[in-house]
Amino acid sequence: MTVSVSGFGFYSTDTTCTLTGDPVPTPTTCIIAGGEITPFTFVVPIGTPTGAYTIVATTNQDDSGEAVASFTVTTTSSPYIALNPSGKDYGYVGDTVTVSGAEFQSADSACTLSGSIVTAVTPCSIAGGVLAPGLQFTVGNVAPGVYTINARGNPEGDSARANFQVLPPLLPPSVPISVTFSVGIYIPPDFAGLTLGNTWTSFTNNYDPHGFSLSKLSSSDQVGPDWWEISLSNITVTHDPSSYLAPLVGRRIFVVNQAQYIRLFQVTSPSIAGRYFFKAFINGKSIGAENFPTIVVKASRDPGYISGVLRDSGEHNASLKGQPIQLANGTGARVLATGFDDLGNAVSAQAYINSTALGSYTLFGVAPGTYNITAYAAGYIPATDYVRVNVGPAQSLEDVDIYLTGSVKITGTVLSENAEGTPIPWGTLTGVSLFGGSRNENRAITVDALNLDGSVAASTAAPFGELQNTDPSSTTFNFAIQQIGFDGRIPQDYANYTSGLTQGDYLLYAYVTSYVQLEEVRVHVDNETIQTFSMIPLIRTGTFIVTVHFRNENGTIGPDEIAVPATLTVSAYGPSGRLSAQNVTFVPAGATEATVELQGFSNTRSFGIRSLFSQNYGLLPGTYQIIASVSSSPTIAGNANLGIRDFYYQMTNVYATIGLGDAVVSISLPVYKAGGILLTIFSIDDQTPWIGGPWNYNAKTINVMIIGSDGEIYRANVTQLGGQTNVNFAYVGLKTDSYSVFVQTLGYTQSEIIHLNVELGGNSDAPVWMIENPVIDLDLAFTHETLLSNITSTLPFAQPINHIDATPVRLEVFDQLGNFVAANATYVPNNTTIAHFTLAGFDLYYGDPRYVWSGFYDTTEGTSQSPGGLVLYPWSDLPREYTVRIWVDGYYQENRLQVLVPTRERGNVSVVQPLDRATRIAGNIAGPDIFEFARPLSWATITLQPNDYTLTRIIDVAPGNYTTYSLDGSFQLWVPEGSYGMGVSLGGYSSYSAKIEVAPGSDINMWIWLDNYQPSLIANAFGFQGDTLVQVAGTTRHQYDRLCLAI
Amino acid sequence: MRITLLLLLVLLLVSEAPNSAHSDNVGDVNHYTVSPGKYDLTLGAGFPGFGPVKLSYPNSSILTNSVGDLLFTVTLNPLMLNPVSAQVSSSLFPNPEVEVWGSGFSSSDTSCTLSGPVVPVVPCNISGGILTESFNVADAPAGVYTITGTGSPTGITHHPHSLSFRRHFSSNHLQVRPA
Repeated sequence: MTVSVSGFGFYSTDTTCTLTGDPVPTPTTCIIAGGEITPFTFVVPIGTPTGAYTIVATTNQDDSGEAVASFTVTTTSSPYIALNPSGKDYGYVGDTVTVSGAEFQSADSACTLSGSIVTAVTPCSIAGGVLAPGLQFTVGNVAPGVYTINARGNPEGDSARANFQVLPPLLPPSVPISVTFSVGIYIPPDFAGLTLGNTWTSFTNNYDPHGFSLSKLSSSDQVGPDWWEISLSNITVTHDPSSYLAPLVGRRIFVVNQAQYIRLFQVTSPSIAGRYFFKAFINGKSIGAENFPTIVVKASRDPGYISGVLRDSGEHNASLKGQPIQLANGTGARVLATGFDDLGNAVSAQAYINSTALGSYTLFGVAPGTYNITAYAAGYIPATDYVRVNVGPAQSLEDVDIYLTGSVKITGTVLSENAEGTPIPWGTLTGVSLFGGSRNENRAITVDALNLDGSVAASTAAPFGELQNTDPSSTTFNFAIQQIGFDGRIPQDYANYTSGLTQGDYLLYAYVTSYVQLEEVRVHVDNETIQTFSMIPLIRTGTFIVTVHFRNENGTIGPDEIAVPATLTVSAYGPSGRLSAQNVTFVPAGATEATVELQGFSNTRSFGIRSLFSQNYGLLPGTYQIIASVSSSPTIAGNANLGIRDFYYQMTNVYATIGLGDAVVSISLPVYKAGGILLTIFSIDDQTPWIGGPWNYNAKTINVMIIGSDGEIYRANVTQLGGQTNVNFAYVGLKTDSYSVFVQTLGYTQSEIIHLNVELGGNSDAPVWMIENPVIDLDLAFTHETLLSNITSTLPFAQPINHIDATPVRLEVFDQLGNFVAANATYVPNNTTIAHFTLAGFDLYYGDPRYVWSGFYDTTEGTSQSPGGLVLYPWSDLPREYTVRIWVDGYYQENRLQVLVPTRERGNVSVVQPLDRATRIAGNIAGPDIFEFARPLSWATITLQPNDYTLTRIIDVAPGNYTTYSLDGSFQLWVPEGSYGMGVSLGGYSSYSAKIEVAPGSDINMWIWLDNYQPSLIANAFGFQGDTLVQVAGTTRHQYDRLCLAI
Repeated sequence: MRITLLLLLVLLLVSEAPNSAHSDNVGDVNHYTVSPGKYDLTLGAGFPGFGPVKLSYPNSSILTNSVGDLLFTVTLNPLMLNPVSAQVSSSLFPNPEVEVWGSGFSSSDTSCTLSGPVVPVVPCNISGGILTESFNVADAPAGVYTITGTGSPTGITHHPHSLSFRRHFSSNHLQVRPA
């Protein structure tokens, strides 16, 4: 609100005046000329309460008295504007942005819109405090960034602002823009039942673990310790799909801004209620913690919540008493409520907060019951006070504040000493070997506080980042330990500590490379302990210097020049066989010897960067076995690159003893050049005598597996060479031994196993005959109600995949003994009626067995299948009868496809198999909340049980596969035609069962209402046929347009 | 014809939490009693608002120790690699959530909008004359706000107070964050 000030009647000699009032105007001085105040205005601050106010003018030249005036504030609201270009407040240069706004002063009638991006503004007016509709502007030609738009109401002068983000310009559509992504989704460890076989994605149907995996992370993972991670890589997103050959999805190419899906089936929810969030990283970067998906897990149908603030008890600092706890940046806190519900069942809820929460927490999903609440916070003693709270259905309990006391700090000094106990500087770690050289480094140090059972309770090691280092010129290192409870559930990108040390006894151990701790240091902590201090003496230990000499053959004396660059690794194993020291060095081609220093190693650290260069303890006095190995990546002309292989072998056991002190123990040992195997691998037919022919599958992998008499397996591979009849293969790096050779490749079977003897320093050669196998040529005919019909992924019934340009297909072949002998996972382009496939064996196929969820989603557990042909046993005369199983999303195979192929003769078999479209049953499930409002329900179980007649029409799909779960009320599954018993259930609601008839190839929509749990109620289902409501019961088969249930 | 209807005020209280617990210290045990009337079943509608990875069902919660499916949607765009739109942060504190439920709209209304200074752009559901929506309050100064519901197209006159609002949680006592 703008107030105008003017006045008259002052003495003509007055020149200035002073203004006072409430609110105080700005400026507070005014000018008087000719007895009149020179008019000016001031703005009443937003938020000034309504009411009458006065201002008083007093001159300072003549005592002419005071002039008093008043004004009235009629509203306290502040004006606002909203920007809406296509539903967003961000966009591009040239976008037209609509501006709306309200709460301007009622006296305003006009307005002005300003800002550096504002151009081409339409007329702006205000009526009743509201901006007139239709106000627009065009985003000017500015650089990407965030800009402020200001709307000023006139004549009152009040204004409102809003931000608009100008995004970087898109290149013209004709210019392909493709970016490759990796996606990582982290799932809290509280969820159970996750397996790769339960995991499906529309990004790929290839379960190659290098591109699609589900893994359980380590307890020291920086993002999610002990969490699950779904990882997808090599996903290309493009603005210009036309620049690629279709189908795109088979090569993991997707159009920008089209949603793809990752679905995990039959996951078990946490046993502890609370709000859980899932972390998401794209190309290794977080999408932003505020964007992490979340879900509330509740312990009863109508839960309440408990909230409050974690506060400082002030016991260590009285000035902090009652203040919210102060968490170190990045650390967190956990609140755990445990109790019993009205039936005596144990119930619990938990919440995590981060350091920006100022101690505020909320426990979500709390079941009605009685609870004790315990709070944990980094740097504080867990609060074990009994805060007994009672929560009823849908009740909320606030201001449950918990007071915490700072936890004990274990401090001390680590001493660097020699064997006599004399302080010595830490110095630097010399001889740290690098590929191509060596360097000196400061010694890293870690101090752990161990529980008496040996587990690590706390450590100086940071959860992530570099280790702490000692000062080379110092003889001491000071440390402090206070935090425990490394946890990923803190609502932020990375895991951190969530608790302070508790009372108890701890053992302190310090770890520094080339130092050992001989004394046990024990500290006791009780509730009264604020800080402890301990001295930890470390003794410098000695060094093994190991020189390795290269020899040609066992028994030779003269040196051998290593032929190719190699890596020398030397390890020292203690009396118990524990790896105690290790180091690596680079060996250039032509070298006849190499030297490595061994000063220690560590496998005790839980956090931080762990590598050969962060070894953090020394060699205890004793005797060690020294083992050297040499590996390289030799390339032999005419053969494939063989990968990293052991190139020289140590043939004798070497032991060495070392004592305390920094003495050096020098060791010398020989290693001997390994032997090798040379193979010529032929492509032949199955006739007698055989006739060679060109390889049938150009560039497909040929796996070679060499097994020694001790069972050790050596693997390497080459590829089929189209147009040639054989491939040369060489493998070096073998000890003297007898070896068996197995060869596997798509479409072929090895005629016989090869056995070879190899001597150190020598090569053995042999031919390998690979027999061409028959193949199955399969034509799939897609039908709808038995009539040929194009397949397409864009129809509603194919909803989960209709953002991709083809339909995934999985084909599997089993021989008459049940062996899984061939498979193909590929895609069928849209609008295909008959698709052709060749089944010849395996090539880079992952999966066995395969699962089908909800009758649609096709998953595997990702087992790698060795390459090969249809014929597993070429020496067998068994008839070649195969069973082919076909899985196409949204279709079903009505009959088992049996294929008989000629025995031991080259020839292909052509078969045709129709696939009929399945029926989709989709719908919504809702139920009342405690206020009788309709709520969409998640995780209601929907099961279809085929009757006997239907079972005969379904192959290879267990009835349990026709089970799905509602998601935000919606569900869908796919079934063949038939008669089914349908059941719907969810805890706290009455269940439903009915019999439904499914017509072939139809698309059924249902609406289901689950009422409050009443054991005596019976649910009924009704379907609409046109406008006619028909009860679903009996065995009559109908197709329903819409089904609903009444209870 | 579009008819814009008024609304109710959402009281965003800064310092006082209604239905606060009362505590009586009895030795080392604090006894709390509460009054019913709050609910937290729906959480996260419209949240997260900009993330390329979402859980597909933010509007309903799930029971402990139950079995069901997790469905994530992943929407990728090269722009998300641009620093301008980088969304890296270190905290997770969604703004308070408000549920809107309104009756008396026309049964012929097929779409609707909510507007007001604390209303982000969210989908609006209307069916059978019933408007339902929930959203996380946008960044705004603490204060009293008016929210407007609009059915479209509509031909029935609405009466006042046809929209009601309910807070769902108050981890920060419903104090909206400064803009």
